Amino acid sequence: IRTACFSVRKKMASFVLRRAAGRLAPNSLQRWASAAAVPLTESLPYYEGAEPDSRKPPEGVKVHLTSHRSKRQVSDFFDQVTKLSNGVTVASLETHSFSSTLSVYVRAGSRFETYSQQGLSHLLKKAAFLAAGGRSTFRVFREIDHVGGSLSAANTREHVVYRAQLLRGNEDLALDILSKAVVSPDLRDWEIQDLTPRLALEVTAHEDDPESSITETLHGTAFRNALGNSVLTPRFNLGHVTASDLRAYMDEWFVGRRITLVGIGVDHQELVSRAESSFSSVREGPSSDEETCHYCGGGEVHVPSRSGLTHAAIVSKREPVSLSSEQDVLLAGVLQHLMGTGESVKWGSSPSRLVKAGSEAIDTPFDACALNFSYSDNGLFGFYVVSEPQNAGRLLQAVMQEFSSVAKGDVSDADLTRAKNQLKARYLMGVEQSTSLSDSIAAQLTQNGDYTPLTTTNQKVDAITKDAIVQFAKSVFATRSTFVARGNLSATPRMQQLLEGVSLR
Amino acid sequence: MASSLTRFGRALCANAWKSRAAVARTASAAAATRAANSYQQSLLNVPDTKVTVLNNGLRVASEDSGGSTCTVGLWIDSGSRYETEANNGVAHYLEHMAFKGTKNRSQIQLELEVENMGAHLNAYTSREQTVYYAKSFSSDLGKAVDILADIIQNPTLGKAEIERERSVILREMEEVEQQVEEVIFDHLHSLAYQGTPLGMTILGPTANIKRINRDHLSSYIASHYTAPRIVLAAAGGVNHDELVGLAERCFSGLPTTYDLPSLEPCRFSGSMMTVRDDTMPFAHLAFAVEGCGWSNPDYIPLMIAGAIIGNYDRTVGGGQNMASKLAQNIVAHSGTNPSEVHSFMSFNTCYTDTGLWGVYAVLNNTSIDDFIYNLQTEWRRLCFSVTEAEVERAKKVFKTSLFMQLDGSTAVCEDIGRQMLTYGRRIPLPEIDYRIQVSTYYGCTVKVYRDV
Repeated sequence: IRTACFSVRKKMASFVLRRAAGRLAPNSLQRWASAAAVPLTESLPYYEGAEPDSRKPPEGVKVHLTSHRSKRQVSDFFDQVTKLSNGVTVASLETHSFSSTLSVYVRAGSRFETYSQQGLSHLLKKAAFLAAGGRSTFRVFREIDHVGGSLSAANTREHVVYRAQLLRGNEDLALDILSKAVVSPDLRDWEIQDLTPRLALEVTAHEDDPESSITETLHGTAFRNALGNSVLTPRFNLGHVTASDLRAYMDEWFVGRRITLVGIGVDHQELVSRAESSFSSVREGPSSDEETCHYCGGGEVHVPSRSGLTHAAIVSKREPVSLSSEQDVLLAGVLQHLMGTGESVKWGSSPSRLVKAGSEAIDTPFDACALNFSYSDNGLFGFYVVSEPQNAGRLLQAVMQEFSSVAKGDVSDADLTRAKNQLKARYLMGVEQSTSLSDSIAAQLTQNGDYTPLTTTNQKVDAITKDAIVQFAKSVFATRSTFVARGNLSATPRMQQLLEGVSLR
Repeated sequence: MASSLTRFGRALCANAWKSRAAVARTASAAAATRAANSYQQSLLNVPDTKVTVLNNGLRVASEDSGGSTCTVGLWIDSGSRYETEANNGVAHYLEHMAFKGTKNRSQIQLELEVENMGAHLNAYTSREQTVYYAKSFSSDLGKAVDILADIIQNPTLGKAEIERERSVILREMEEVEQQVEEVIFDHLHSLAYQGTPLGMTILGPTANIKRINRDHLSSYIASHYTAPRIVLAAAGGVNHDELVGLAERCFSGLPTTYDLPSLEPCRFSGSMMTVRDDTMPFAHLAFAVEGCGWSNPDYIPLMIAGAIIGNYDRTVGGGQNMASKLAQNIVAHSGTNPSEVHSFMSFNTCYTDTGLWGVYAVLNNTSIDDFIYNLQTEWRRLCFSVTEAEVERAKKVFKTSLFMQLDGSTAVCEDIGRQMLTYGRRIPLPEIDYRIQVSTYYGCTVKVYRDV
């Protein structure tokens, strides 16, 4: 009894002292002993003073310290890919983390839209989580909200992506919602029609953003079909895509062999067995034949306005140079970083080739970087500049001259090493987050049918020689280019003028 | 007889129904327990944050989550709150000047070194913290720490660079003026904390930007960039002992003094300001009451109350189905014109001893009255008639948003640095989970009642 009194008095003493020191929240109505009254600077009694390894876990909980995330190099280790009987590919990586990310990639992006279907994949994205498979829109939102999770959808030129992110333990619900959205959406007419004003808002926002609008115009001008379709709804088709159009599109393109399910932070066997039943009604295929995408060079679009800046981009088709398209992608990546992709130090200027060339040519603020778009069967490579109007022409000339000197072999070893390090860092930093890790896994699986660990990819990057880069650079402007300029175009040259001063061979 | 048979039959059916339901309940309960166990396990699986305090007071904290990349940075306990009217803007100016060259590296050499490593160097200044951080390969941790140590201990602060940076900062101010959200929150602070240091903007007034010189900058560094006020935090593939060794080598020269007077409390004043501009397409509204400081345990009930109010965005398809009562009221009352309120979000900005808890909304100018009415009704409802189910949902939403953010080395490093500065420790995830779980329905209502 004496020891009990003593410990109580000690606790009281410490309470009094802490209150005097102002370290207890004076306004809290809860008793000081309750967890809800302990300031966040103080450890809770449950955790107080315990050594990390001897901390007592809650009842019945086993701690898997051997499969700790720190023991596993996420970027190096990946072998969990299963193909279901209907062609759906299921891939997962168990990170034993407290959060799970489930993503479904369907190869049904804007490149597969016909003329009258333009904007359909954009609408598909907006309608992603409406009523599906017996669950009303209301129920989808409320159920996911009830577990604190989040749903998101995205559309690119090649894919439509449905994603759910939540804390571990709720994968059943997430997979159910995602699979029903892909397999059996209700596509109610009135709900689809309600989306038109929302589409219009997004289209307007993107029209005002120069980078986004230039990218869309560039693709629309460079490609005759397929990849030329915008990821946003063109104005003429706003409101003209109906629920039955969506259904026809999904019937055509949402087949097993075009669907990939990627799970991060989930158990593979459980995911596969649940996916077997959730995706069972998906037909295996084949889907319709995909159109070959045709690049048509020589196109030029000028969008003048009274803005204070000029934004311009010039690109050309990326020809296949190496034995494998993977190698081409790596070469393009290294060349892109060699030319310049923006500064790595805040408020700084980049020591990249383009920025050096630009600062020697003009004395007003500017930005210049290399563009590199990679698709499954095609690619674009070129440059993007932002400049004050009076110097736009000089800047573009400087950029093209710099590139032609690179194509003639003017590449130092230091430049090459820097570019390789930046590309490797971009790949490795990209897989730190679950969403971009999912994206890179899905991209590899849909492209190559296989996943290459990043260590192998980085070794390939290291093995790239200067000659390979120069060869690649020579091939870039071999076909006719495409040029898009927007903003104040008072001193922006035509593409012909731009190219005639520059020899690219 | 017939009726008793029917009663019996009904009872039999009822029992069968109950037992079926009971079986279903047990099965889902078992699944729920399994899921909960695996969630609890995963919380305990997170590597510990190791903390070491050097002799000069510098704190080194890191979490080794493996991987080939890492983020390492300096979290400094100083910001615009520590400035006076005369030198307001100097902390932000210093952030610019730090990258303009040191005794050991010119600006060009610094940029080249960072780019050659494939690394990134970034910084930001807020009212109570200044942060410089770098992302790089794990194998380049030594170089990254060396660079960070160099830029805060040996910046050249050359006169020519200071002059050149004036126009850059003035242009930055112009850009920030275009971002309505930034402007609104600056106004909110200048009103809520009028006459106190928290009311000042981070960039500072134009007059100060034109006036700040080398003396301002170097005296700011000398008084504020001292070891006890700095945390070196790292996450990703970092070894703590290696990091401590690097810190001892690079930061031993930091002054160890901490002789500033303790922070003056910043009084909160209720007030209102309207800036009318009919050329803008929307009205932007920020409504706040005084919240609590970082370490106050009432932070969690306030965040839960904020999650009950939630966020709303008109462009999300199906957004009218959200569980937030405020969103439902807005959509319900908008009648024939569903585009009255464009979006709203609840915020809880915390400082050491005070905070702002409220809602920021973007709406049509014709619906301001309605929105304020709906918001105040919602606040009153939170005081007296919020339901347990809503509180439970909000707890899950808050927990998920807290934990989902910890994705990637940069987010984890930022969390470590911020928590070391505000709480003096990194709260283990199971403890955060536990604290959120035990927040009660009464705790939240009482907290909102007292503050609103």
